[in-house]
Amino acid sequence: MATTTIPAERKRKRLSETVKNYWLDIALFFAFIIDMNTRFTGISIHEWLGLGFGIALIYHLLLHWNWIASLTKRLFRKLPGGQRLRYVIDLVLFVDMVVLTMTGIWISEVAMRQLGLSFAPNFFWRRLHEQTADFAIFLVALHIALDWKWIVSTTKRYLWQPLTKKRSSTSKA
Amino acid sequence: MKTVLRILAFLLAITVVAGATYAIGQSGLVSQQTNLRGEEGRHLGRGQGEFGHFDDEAEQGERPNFGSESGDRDRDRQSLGFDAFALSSFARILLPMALVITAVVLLSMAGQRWRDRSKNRPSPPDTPAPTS
Repeated sequence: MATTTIPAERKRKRLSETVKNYWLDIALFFAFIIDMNTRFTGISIHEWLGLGFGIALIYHLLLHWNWIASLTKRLFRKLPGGQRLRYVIDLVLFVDMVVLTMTGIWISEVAMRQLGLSFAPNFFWRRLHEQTADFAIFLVALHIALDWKWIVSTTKRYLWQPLTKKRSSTSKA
Repeated sequence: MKTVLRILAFLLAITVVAGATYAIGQSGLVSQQTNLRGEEGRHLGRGQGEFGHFDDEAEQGERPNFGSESGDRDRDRQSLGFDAFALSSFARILLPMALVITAVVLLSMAGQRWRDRSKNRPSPPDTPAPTS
């Protein structure tokens, strides 16, 4: 009895983690796309959304802790080339995102002022913010491309199949 | 407890990267380059433009979008918030992303197919069987 319930619970937990991952990734993607278009959002929304994005990124990384830890341990040992490439791209993306968020905080015109903080205007931080933002577009695209199989299979499983099931059940009724 | 430690680990990594960025920003090389830009700005009548001490005029001079009349309009738009005309600039972000994703996915698919083909290729009949 116990042997049948434990794997089922584990499976449910794993499934829920995949779903959590999937929807967080979708939210992060849309937040990134919207936040990159400063003209669309306006400076205030851009800054607050950027801060929220930074916090959500930490949660995204926490969800992938096991992968990060295991690959970091095996990095200087035998590791498939694809995994090593993905690790390097993700590391560069992490550094880029940190610099992007931090320079965003340092050049903030609205959000930091609302929080009672102010930094001296600086040309270098502004240029660095713009350049890391441009670089982030390519890195995020690479990050998505390397996980494309997982994205397609998870979309089929958690988005497409439930939708088509619903449609077929309503047509039968 | 585990989660707190993990968050602390990430915060430490973030602090290291942010600290390094700040140090680079304050280093002599960067301030030298910024001073050079300031010199260029002075030739153009933009004011002093010293690193970290831009006056308003010089600051606007370094940010061409906001200096001109149309730039002011852009600035106003940014401050106002939602701008329906800005929907088109999503293409500037989505197009390069789509190109990179397509290229990488196609390359990896081609690589996978090539690997599968070389695995399934039967050995020619004339070649002798390997002896151990």
